[in-house]
Amino acid sequence: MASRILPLVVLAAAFISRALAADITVKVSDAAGHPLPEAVVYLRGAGVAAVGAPAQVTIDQKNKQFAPQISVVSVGTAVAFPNSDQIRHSVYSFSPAKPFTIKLYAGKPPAPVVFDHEGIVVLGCNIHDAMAAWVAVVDTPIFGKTDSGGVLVLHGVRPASYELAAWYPGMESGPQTQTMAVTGVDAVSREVRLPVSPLGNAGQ
Amino acid sequence: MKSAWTLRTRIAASFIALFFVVQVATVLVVSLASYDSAKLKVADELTVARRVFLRLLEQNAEQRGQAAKGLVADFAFREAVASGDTSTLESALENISVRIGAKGAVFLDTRGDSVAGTLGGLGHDVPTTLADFIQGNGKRPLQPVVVGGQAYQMVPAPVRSPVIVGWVVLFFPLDEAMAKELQHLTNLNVTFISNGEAGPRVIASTYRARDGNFSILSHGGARRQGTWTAEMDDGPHQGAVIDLNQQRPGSLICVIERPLVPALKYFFDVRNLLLMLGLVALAVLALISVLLARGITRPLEELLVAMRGITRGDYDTPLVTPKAVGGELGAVADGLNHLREGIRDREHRILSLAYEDALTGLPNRVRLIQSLQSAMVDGTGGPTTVFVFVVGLDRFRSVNDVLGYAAGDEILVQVGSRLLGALDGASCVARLGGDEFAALFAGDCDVGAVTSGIAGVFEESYQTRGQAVDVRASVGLAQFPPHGPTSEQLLRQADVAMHTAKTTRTGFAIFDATTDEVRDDQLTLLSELQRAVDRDELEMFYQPKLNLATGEVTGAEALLRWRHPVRGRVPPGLFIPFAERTGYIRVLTRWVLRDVARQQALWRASGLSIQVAINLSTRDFMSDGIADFVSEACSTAGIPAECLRIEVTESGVMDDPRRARETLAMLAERGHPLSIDDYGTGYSSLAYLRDLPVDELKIDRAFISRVDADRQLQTIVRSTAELAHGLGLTVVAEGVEELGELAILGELGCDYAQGYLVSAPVAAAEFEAWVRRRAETTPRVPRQDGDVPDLARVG
Repeated sequence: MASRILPLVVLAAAFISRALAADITVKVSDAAGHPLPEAVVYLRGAGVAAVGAPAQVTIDQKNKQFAPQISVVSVGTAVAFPNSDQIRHSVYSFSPAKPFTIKLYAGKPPAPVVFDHEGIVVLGCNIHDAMAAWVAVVDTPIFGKTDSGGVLVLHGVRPASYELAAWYPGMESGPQTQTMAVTGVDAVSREVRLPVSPLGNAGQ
Repeated sequence: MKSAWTLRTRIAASFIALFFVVQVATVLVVSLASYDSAKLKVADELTVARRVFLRLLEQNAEQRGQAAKGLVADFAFREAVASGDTSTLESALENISVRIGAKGAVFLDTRGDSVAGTLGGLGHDVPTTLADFIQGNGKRPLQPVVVGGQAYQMVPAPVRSPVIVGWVVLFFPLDEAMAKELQHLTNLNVTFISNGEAGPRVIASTYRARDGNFSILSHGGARRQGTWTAEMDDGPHQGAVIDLNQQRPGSLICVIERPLVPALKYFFDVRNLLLMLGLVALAVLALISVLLARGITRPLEELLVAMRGITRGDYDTPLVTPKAVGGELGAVADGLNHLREGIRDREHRILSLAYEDALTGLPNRVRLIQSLQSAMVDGTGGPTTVFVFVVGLDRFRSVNDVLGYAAGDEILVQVGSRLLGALDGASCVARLGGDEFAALFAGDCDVGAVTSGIAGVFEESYQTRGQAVDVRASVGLAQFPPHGPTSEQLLRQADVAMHTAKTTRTGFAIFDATTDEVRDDQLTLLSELQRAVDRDELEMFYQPKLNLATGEVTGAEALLRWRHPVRGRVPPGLFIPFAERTGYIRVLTRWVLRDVARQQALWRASGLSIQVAINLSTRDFMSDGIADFVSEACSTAGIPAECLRIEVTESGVMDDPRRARETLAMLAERGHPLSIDDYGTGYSSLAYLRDLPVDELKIDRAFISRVDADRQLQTIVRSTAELAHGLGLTVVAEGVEELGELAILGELGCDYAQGYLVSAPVAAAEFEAWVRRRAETTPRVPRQDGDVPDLARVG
């Protein structure tokens, strides 16, 4: 399903970009004002919805930590939890968006987990309390994570009125949002400051 | 000791006082310091205890927190949390409480809202406290609280899945067990007190509820801040307050305290030991001080005693030199010894001077009076008789004048030693001064033996510078008790008697009280004598001179008499010497001259031709202008100078021979016949008299008395008369009182006789009558050898 949707998206994007499309640059900083990498940024708007089944997303477990720790997926995405460590892990979630448990396992688990509800899902390992990962399940196709410079560029966004949302672990009450109107081909630049501090090497 | 503060006391007291001050200061300083340090130690203990206590709470919380973390990490528990089923969660919490030993537990979500709990009826404070805690993400410490009257230590544990989804808070009670544990660790009493709206309340304590301290703490002992000292039921306690909940200060505190007395026991022990040591040292020092002071002062006291002895007059006890001390005190003692000996010797000399006559070595007047007094006092058993003899040398002044004082002194020394030798029965032989000596006899005394003993002393002549000198003396005797009650009086009366003996030439006289009465009033005598001249109390008496050859009376001696209106007849021997001493004799002499000259004029007018002799005292004789006055008296009365004969005594002449010669020369020049009176009692020689213009010699009564019986006297009188005749002098015998004497006088060569046998001195009228009567009855016949004038009619 994902292999069928992707050409469409690319097609549509190519069309919009050619017709009426703009590049949106979002710059995210933490509470201290430093650029914040790995922050989740996405746009929501009327008529914008997740379409099709996206490509499979993988959250690996290396050195008793999830990698990546932060993921953003659209609703319905199946996430695989391979275990690259030599020890066993037991991945679980008590988050209402997707509670699940994968009993102790090594190597590849029998099946990926499909995140079919919008929301933040916190993942942990039942035997390693220090391990934590977050999966932001969004109901939109326009999303991404900031790069190491805290910048994310969303290409070919067609003109419309959007809600720009940004999130990072520690934001218990949900993402920080703002409205944003895309009018033409002019590039739009936004800066977002989140009340968080970056995760260290260890999860919170 | 004169003062209560002797040197010894002062030294000892100084030492003791100094030491006492030092000791007190030491004890005080050490006490204060150790008391302070003891209190500091207790305070330190409290500080440490506070830290231990807080650390203990912290540790408890940590340990329990760790345990709780493990329990809440249980997957099933987390599933129960995630399930959202309150009953399940509460049962799970109860399970955890039991497993960890907590009183209860609550679960709160990340907003701090209480979701479930096994601790029913949480206080109002707790949710707020916990909400604050959870909103601070568990960073702030969770402090103990009071819930439902019970204090709790709250131990939180986060519930992760895997991020924190909520908190389990476990409640551990701060109860008696906790207090006991703290007490065990810190050795302090521990009391938890809450301060709610109802006031302070003891929640838990190591005391029992019926303990006094418990009630004290529960009634406000908890209000104190920091470290405090307070009087509690069993004495002072020192303690500290730990505020357990700093968010609500004072709401829950822990009082840790301990009694001070056991803590200060060491201090009190040290102080008591110090005090005891101080007392012992003080006692030892006092003893040493006293001994030391005595060591210094005992020799001083000995010296002092010795000095007091010297002050009392004890010069004979030598000072014991305190050899043990030696040094300065020894030197002082030696010095005092020298001083004492010096004083003793000097006093001895002074006493000698005071009681001894320096010249003769005999006792002096003072010593004699002392002896006299003791002799008079000794008679306690009965009447004691004391005899005082006073020996006065006659005319001793001439010896000094002629031979010099050195010779006179030699003779006095010899007289003294002879008297001492002669009167071995005397209790005292003394020299009274000048030429007077005295002898004292106590008890029975043979007066005759004594007088002859004294006479024997003067029988042999004295040898001085190769010359022999004859000395005579008059002796006076006074007797105790009849002659006077006091020693002074007795001695004076013996002296009076001696003078009487001298004046009367009797050689010896016993004191006569009637004589003395006049002397007693000598002071008034002068004024009375002056009045006597004015009131015509004086009168001249005349004593005839009998011519032994013819039996005629051609001359007379005029003698002054005083008829005192009260005393009656005053003997010339009493007032004449007195007048001579006072100088009043000049007045008397002038009166006598005028009166005699007047009488002569009357007698001459009436045809009575009598040559009258008057006596000139030595004093008159030596005064200037006496010759002129005599002439003037004669010329005034209109009588020739040869009618007035002038008599001067031998001793008067010898007092100042040069001047005597001049005066006599002047008188002779004016035509007055001159006589030497009392011849034989002085020390003149006829060779000397030869040069004087005198024509008559009157032999002293001493040679005439009993001359008829004494061949020696006869020889003297005869040879004297012969020599006098040889020099062209007529000779008069004085004091003729016996017929036998009169009978022999002519034979012995005397020309005239005078005395009571012929006639006593009589008044002028009587004398005139006597002379006229005699002239009528006595034929003028040439004197026959062996004839005795007819005296039967003299009467």
